[in-house]
Amino acid sequence: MGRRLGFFFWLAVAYLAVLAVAAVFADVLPIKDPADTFAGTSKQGPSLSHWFGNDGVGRDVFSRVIYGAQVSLVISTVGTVLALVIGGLLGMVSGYYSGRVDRWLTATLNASLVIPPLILFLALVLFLDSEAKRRIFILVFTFVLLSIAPIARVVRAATLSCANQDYVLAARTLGARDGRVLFREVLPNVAPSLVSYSLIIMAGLIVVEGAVAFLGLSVPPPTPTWGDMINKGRTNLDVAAHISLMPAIVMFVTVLALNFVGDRLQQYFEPREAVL
Amino acid sequence: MARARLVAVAAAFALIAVACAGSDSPVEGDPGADAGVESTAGTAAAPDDPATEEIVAAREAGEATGEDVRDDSTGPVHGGRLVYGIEADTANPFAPYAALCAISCRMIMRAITESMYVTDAKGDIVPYLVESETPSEDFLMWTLKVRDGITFHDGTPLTGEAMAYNINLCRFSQQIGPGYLGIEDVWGEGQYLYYETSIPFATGPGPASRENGCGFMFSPAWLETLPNNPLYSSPFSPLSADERAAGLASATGDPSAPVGLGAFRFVEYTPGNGNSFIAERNPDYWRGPNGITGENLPYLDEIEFVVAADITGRSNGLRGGQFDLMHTSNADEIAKYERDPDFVTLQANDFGETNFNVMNVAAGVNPVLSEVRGLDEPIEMDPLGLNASNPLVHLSCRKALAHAFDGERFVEERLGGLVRPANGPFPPGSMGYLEDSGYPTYDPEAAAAAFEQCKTDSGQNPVTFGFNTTNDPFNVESNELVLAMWTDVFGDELAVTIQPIEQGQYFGLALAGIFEMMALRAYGGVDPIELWLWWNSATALPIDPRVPELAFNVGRFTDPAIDAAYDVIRHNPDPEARREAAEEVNRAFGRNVWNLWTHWTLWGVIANPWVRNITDLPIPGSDVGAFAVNAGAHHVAQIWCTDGDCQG
Repeated sequence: MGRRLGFFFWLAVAYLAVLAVAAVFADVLPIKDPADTFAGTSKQGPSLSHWFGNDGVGRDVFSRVIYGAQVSLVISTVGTVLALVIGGLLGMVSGYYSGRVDRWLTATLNASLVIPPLILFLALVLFLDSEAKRRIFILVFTFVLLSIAPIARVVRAATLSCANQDYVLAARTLGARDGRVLFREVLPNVAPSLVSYSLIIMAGLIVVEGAVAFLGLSVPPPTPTWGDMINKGRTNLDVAAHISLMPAIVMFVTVLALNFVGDRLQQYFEPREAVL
Repeated sequence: MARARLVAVAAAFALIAVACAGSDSPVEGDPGADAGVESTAGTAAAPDDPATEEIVAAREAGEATGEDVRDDSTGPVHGGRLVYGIEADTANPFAPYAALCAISCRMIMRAITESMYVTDAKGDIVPYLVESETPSEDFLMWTLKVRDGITFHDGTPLTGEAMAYNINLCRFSQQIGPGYLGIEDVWGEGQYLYYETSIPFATGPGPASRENGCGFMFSPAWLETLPNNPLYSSPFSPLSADERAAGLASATGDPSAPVGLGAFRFVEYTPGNGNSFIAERNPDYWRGPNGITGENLPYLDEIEFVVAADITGRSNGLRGGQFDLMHTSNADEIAKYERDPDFVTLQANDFGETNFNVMNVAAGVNPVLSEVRGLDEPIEMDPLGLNASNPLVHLSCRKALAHAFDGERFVEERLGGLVRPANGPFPPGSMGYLEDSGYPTYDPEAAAAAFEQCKTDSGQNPVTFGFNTTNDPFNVESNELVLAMWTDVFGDELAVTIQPIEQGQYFGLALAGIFEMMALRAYGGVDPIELWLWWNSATALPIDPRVPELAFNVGRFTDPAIDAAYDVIRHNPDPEARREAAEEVNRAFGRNVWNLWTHWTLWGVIANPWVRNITDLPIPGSDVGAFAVNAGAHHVAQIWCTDGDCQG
């Protein structure tokens, strides 16, 4: 417990907190309406009135980056939480019961890992989605599907390591049911690794959402998303690079921060497990 | 876990890297160019170079033709393989009765085959594969003399019979057939082609078989093998059921492997974005060393058309040397090249296309279509009510949107100010153009008033519809600006969903009527007669998935005033009467707001400097050459590369 998380950990946490707060309270913040097109400001660079400059139709890039965070964070957070619940449960069951259940679940989860994420998404869009406005649900659904297996594998490994610990055997000996053992004894001990890994999954989902939006297949326009902003700015890179670069930088820093926090948390909890 | 982190961070870097790709482009407005009248190339020139200013003046007057006037006194050189970046693939390639043939398709068509007529530099449509045309006194019979000595790539000759076979397939086509209304019979004998009509065609026969579309000729031996041959599949086919079945059973040909008679022969076609159409020099070309004119065409050994739908990718391909030349209608991109001394930039807006948002107004009945099909019962335009909730069937809603659109701002912010806002289907300089067409001008107060009526007429609040656009990011963003203009006036009482759609499916949805509003670019042509297919009531077909029909009148409007005006345009030889009728067509569009006009198209054909004589093809037997860039398309047989070495 004497270990320190370090300055950069807290800096990353602060950045993520500010970004999350800005995204959640964007409507009440004193920033410009992301849909407003300011006549005569098309492609203008950063200025005092438009901190990140204006896009190809004169919209404020700063406010669109903030509102774009809503889509990225909502999709990645909801996707990760749902995947945590499902993948975590499957991982615990697999690791706790072992034997035939473990073999079947592991084989199924391993098989799902070979599905290329973009191909899966494009196929689902093609077969399920006739209208762009429903695409956010397909995005979340796809992200959950993609994230279950990696999370389940991590949880299974953690469950395996603690399923034979003395405190688990003690609980069983005292007659505790499997459900109680799983949720009262195993879950609290696999939770740290679950939380740290979920942040890394979240970072991955932000990037996938960005790639999907870059292909023009995320939420319908004019709702801003980072990937969509990067994509639309491409046509003006030679004259107004800020249109693509600003959301790209924010996305990069966000992904870096999530990875860093997840990484540090993992290192922080590992020695504690060793002590146990 | 470490790997997952690495992948996530690497992917973020990759996105930034993609965003930065192509950032080595020169700065916009790089001064000067060694410009001809319409071209800029080679060495730098002062920003106030008179030739450069002449380009700008021609463009502003709507008279830029795309002529390549560089000094080619060194003479053409044979050889080389030219790679041309085109904007789109072709849906239903390449049989003319089925292909949805936009500009990119027309470029391929002009390489692989040729047309009955061409437009000359004066803007007249003149015989080309046809040598002459002679009407009867009452204009009910036309006799066309077909050039002798021309062969298709399979060695079969171009005769009157071959031409008649081509034309009749289009006549019998369910899709194109209505374009031949009034033509009773077409047949050939030797080198003669005959049209018999039920109404006088005083301006020439077969308006749908001219320079584009069904004017392109293909080998009947190839067409006979195609499974989609209308003789086997169309309800208009004159064949018996047994004959159709027998024809279909033996039809194993490939419509995407065309057999034409052009300067280049088909080699290979792979559909899809990033893929290509490859054709090689035709040694038996009728304008080549073994031909009938004593010319030496074509100069290139091979030509490849590569589909690069994304303008940034296409432009980077040109700058990186992957493409020798490319075309674009993105004026914002043309502006970046206009004064760039490293590239040749031909610009053309004469007889160009119009950009607009077409609205699906299918409702009620279509009496003209009933008459054409010989039915007593009226034909319902929307029998299943699929378009019933579309507010744009109401004139008040269309007017409201038109009044709320600021065209000047649109062209200034999105198109570099290089083009003009449109007020009708005919650009300046075209027959039918009007300074004031009666089309609603930008007026937010009038828009708000019309919108109140729109809410009443449609019974909707918010007024709701979908707005289709291609998924090209530039187009999506441009239409976001259009939506923002509407939202500025109507606020949250208007709910529009922009739906980006992949280019390959896009026009098919328009033809099938599966849309409420969609952005289009069309209506290019030197004579309004070429546009009749798009606007007449007989090509406004019902939306009925049970009996799917593709309609060239994609908005599915029926306008008696336009039909009546076209009776004059098609059949009256008096130029003044035709001009007045064309102007009436323009006014009818203005009154009824069938389309929301945005701007008239400027086409850019942009090349590396080693590509020579890009647009200037002589016409055999004429002192006047072919029109340089006609609605984005130009001829390719005359192109050559410096030292016979293209570098794409």
